[in-house]
Amino acid sequence: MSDSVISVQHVCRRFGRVQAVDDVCLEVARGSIFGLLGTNGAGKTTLIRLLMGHLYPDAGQLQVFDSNPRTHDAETLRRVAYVSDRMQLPGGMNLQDVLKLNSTFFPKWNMEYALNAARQFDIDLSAKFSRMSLGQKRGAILVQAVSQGADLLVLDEPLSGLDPINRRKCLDLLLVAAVDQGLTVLISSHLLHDVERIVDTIAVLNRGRLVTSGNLEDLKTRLRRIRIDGVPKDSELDEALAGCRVLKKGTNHEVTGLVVDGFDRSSQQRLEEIFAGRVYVELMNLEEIFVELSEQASVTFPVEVGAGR
Amino acid sequence: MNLTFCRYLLWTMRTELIVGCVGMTLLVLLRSEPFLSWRVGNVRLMADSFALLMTAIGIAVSLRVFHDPPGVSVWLQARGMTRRTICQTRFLTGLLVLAALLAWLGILMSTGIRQAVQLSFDSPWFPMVRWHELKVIPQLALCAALPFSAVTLLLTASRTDDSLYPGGWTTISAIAGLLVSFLAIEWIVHSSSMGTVVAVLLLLSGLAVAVALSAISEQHAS
Repeated sequence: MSDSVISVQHVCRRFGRVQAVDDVCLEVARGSIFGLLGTNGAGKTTLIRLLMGHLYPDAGQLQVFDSNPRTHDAETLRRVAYVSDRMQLPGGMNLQDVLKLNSTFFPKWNMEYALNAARQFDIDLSAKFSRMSLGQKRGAILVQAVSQGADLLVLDEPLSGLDPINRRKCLDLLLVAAVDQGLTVLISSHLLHDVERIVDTIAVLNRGRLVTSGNLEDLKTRLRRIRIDGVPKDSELDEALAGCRVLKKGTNHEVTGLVVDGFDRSSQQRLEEIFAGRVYVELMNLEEIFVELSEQASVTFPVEVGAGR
Repeated sequence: MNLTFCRYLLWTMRTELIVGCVGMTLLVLLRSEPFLSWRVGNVRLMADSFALLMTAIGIAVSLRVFHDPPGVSVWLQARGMTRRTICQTRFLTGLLVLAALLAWLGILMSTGIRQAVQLSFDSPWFPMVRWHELKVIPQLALCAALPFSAVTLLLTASRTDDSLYPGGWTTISAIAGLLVSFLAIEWIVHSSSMGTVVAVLLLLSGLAVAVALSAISEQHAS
């Protein structure tokens, strides 16, 4: 049995003239909480639909639980719980009906877990879905996903449109379920502050291409935003940042800003030796990493460079 | 076939089923003309409103079992069923609904309920035609099953990969299914036993192709 629950190898998918997914490779390890990040149109939903077997790839190989999602049998399909922001529950049904229905769809269905989870969202079990608020509907969908006895949870923008209270309830439910049941979670979202609370690994997509992927803590350790007063010589920068990859560089003649990958303690020492008193190195949170790694952010650089920490 | 999904589909259609059954009951009980003329094969589809009604019901049932409210199909796809199971269950549920409607017609005719109503209207045809009228059931079954099969086939074909088709494909399928069914039934009702055999073959081939298409969609990427 492979250690990866999801394996994507050189997958491409085109819609007409739009290359929605372009040569993407990534692996989701068993037990990890994986954040799939990207701007609108980056290809997150297409990639998830490919993983769910709803679409064919034009090229490349996809594997979920070591087999092609297009050919999954019912048993394997039941191991995957899927939540999408496009998902709706039948308006004429209530949660009690749906939970009963699910108990016959899924042999490993945990009714007690579902009822406990539903209480967190203050859902009236006898209220029809058509009369529920967005937060309650999304809660009801999540309750089903975490109670079906799945091994993999695939969530496509599950938090979009929710208020902070409901976002927090959803995240708490996900975290508890992931820990209790040892779930592997793949979540795509724009809400990076929320996602940062739960993910341990991320992949950033931009215009269908994979920009970066890896352990979030590693990325935070490796990536730094550097501000240097004045305009340093290229030779000085090359020497100071030997072994690092400069992802972005910009200057406005008074200050030079850089975003570098592969930053470590020795890089810090060299910078301080060469640019003593003129250099500020900043840690970056997930949102800053995401913005810097996305092409759209380049126009704002280096205006956003702030004071050193 | 997934029985839970079948139950769910029937539950979602409950209003239409009740209205359809009540409407059909009234139409059958109050129809003063006997269905006899169909037996000799000289009645054309356009000339018989009941045949047209059954054609419409076949199309409506097909569209109903294959169409979910926006977002609900995404939820159903995540209930642990393969595409083949979903397709087969929808198809067989549709056939079950049509069979139930026809069985209800048969009950109305065979138990003498229609006869009793017609006698109360002083119909000159009853009780003479009571048992002979039952022979119309297979013909009505074809009138409903053929368009059901044709529309289902087109809908299934259009969903092997939904992103490949434009949004209006369902409408185009329905119109195409209606046209094909109409022409086929015109010919079948007008002709005799040979037409019935061809119709049954068409129906079975529709089922086979629908199942094959769903299987192809699952095997395509393997």
